[in-house]
Amino acid sequence: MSEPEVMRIRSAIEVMKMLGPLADDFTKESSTLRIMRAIIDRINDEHPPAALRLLALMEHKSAEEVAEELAVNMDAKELYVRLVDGLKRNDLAFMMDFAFVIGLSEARWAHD
Amino acid sequence: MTEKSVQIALGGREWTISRARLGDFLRLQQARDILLEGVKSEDNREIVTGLYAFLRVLLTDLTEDEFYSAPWHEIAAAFILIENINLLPHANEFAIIRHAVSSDKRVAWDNYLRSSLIWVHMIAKAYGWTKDEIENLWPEDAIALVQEILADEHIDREFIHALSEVAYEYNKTTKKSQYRPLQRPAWMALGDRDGKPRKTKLRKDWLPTGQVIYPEGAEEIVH
Repeated sequence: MSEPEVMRIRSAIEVMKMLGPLADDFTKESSTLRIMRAIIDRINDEHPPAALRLLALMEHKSAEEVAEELAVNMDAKELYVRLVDGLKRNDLAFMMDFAFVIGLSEARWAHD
Repeated sequence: MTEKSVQIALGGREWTISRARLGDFLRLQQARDILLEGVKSEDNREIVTGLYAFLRVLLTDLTEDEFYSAPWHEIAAAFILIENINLLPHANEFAIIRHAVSSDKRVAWDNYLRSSLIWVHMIAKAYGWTKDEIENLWPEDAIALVQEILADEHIDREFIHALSEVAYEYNKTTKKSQYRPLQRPAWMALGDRDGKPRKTKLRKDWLPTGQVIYPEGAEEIVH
């Protein structure tokens, strides 16, 4: 399966809106693993379907499509890995910095 | 007053853009207002429209197709580059910016062009220049001119105020009239050019009483 492309602006704005309110939790972390955990935990805590929506936006799919794919070989690890890939591919640090610049996040990336 | 340029790559094309003159500077501001309004109302469509309008000011032939199909980070990078190249040099030198008071008050005759045309109106009224000439000014020159125009207007108003009887309040106790000067706007009244605050006198009974313990190394001030 080929890797999905980087998001387009409409999807990216939606993702920034989802991650913006959580920015305080993860923009100061320096370990990739802890950043991803913070995002995924908060997203699952607050809105269970948000993780699916986030993944769908980053993979140019509908939430239903992603749910179906994950249901075939239901593995929490797969959701986690695909989310991590998506956030890396879309340069999470730059995304949060841009979200901060345009006012969609109150915290900007705190480390290199 | 400084000509700067920057290279922007977006959707497989490249542009070399220069710093905006007043006209484009104000158009960038208008686009930024649409974007901020979208952020405030959480309206994705307005946010994206604002971003596109912002980029279109300087990337004049950027099509909607190119914009919507470009990777988001190219749009973000272009936005940041345009923002940075158009930062006002020495913005803190202008009292009108340093002591700017934001106001959401709208007048009855407000319209979407008013915030930018008000600049043209003010400068044209004072110097008789054409819209094109004014829009070709560097933004910092325009700010300096507007600051002078507003200061002049206020000083004229102070003179007229001093001639009017409303400027003299009658004090029944002393049986004398006392001159009440017209209040200056904050940017004309606050601080000096170096940004140092004015010394303010405090009544003695407002000062702390008793022994003052100064932190180690701090200067002891005797009132």
